[in-house]
Amino acid sequence: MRASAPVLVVEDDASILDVVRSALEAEGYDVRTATNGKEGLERLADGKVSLVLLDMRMPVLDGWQFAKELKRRAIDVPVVVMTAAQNARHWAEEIGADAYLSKPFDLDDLLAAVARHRDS
Amino acid sequence: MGERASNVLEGLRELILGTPPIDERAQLALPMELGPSQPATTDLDKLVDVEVLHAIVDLLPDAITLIHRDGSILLRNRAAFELLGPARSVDWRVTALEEDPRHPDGRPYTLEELPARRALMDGVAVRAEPMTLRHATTGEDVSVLASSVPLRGADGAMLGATVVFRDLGALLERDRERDTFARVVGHEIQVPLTAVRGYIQQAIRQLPSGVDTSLATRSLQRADANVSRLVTLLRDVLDTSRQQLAPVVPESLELGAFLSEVHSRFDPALQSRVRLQTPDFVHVRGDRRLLEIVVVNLVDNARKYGPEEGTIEVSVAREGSVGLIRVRDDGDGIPDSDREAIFKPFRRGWNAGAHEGSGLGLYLSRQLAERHGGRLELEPSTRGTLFALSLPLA
Repeated sequence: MRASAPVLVVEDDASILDVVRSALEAEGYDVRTATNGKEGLERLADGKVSLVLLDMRMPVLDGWQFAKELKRRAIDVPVVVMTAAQNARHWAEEIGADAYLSKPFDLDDLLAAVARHRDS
Repeated sequence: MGERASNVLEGLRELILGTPPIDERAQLALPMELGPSQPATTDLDKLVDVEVLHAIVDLLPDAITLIHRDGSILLRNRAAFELLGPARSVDWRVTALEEDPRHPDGRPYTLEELPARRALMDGVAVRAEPMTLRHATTGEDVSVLASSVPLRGADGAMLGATVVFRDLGALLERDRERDTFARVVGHEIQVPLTAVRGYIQQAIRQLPSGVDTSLATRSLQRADANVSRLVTLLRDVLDTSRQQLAPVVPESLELGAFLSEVHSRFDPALQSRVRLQTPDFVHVRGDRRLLEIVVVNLVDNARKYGPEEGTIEVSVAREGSVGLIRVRDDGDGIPDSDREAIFKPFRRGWNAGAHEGSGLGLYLSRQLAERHGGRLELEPSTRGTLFALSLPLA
């Protein structure tokens, strides 16, 4: 297990959440999960995370509002946006994310993005 | 039916069905007093002609207006009333007949630019020009294609003009709905596709490394390759749907300069294979961004289907009233049986299996060409494949 803080995955689709979680765990990361932005903020309260993998389209509190809330609370954590191909880059710029992954993404790309951007 | 009425009908028929301009042939002898109420003559034969003419014109789905050179409106059919509201009692020589005529980019028409005026004052035929008008009572915008031809008397004198507006609204609305549907479907497909891709890649990562010919390994690898194909296909379908709806914002483009710019954005390997031949200045009207999509598609096809390291010739020419961009490769050419099929969506033709791509490029490119009032054709060629993109001169 790596010594660094866990990765937080915020994604409303159960299958995508599951496959991302298991890929990260296989890579040796601790993983926290949330199925919408509100849960994501609650998971953040549980303790420091090294990176947030953020879906944009979620119920209750979407990715855009989650990111705004991070800014408002002055929480400084790397964010990688995961969303549909046409919008990924646009959203990443809008919320000032560190990187973006276009769905459907390649697992190698996802793991590389996490390795590159996480706080260590 | 009398000769006079049949001439007018013939003129209208050709205008509406889109055959070549008839200004040289519209030798109409309209009596000066012809109007919607009282015919000038008591000749029963001619009376019937006029009424039949009006009845037929009133049934046609396009908005039709006949204007007299003296400034008045001779005839306006039911479709015009339904599409645009009641006629304004104005002199067309001084005021536009329809409300707030604008170009697609929102710029208002000047009086001289109006199709009816161009037909009557300059004697030119206007064909399928996109315009936005405003309904006289509801104030809503109406998108149309405007056509106009002059009407001449037997002595060749200009008597009036016919103006036809075809309603684009229903078509645009249907396109918008189709795009929305495509995007919603696209998103729904992307979600499980992401999961499938992830699980397959996860399984592959779990397999022992090194060359492994077991059935399981092969199956997973092929499944992964097919998922990649699905991903590309989905992306291409959504892109195509979006580009089909993109508004055409035309400007005057000098083809040589335009192609140099597009060329400078190719990767170095492709740049060295492309030979630009732009000896003449050719100015066309086109949307720079959309035309780049077409040129990139044609060059990309030449790269994929031509010989590796072969030359791709890109040339410009002015021929008649169009400017041309031609793209030629050194490959095997396209068999006669496939020459039309390649422009159909998803039909990649004769050696499709060997190459990547969803088979939408030529389909979209032809549509983009036509939206510019131009064409994309395969031209006969003694060697290789030769595409010709023609665009109206600026």
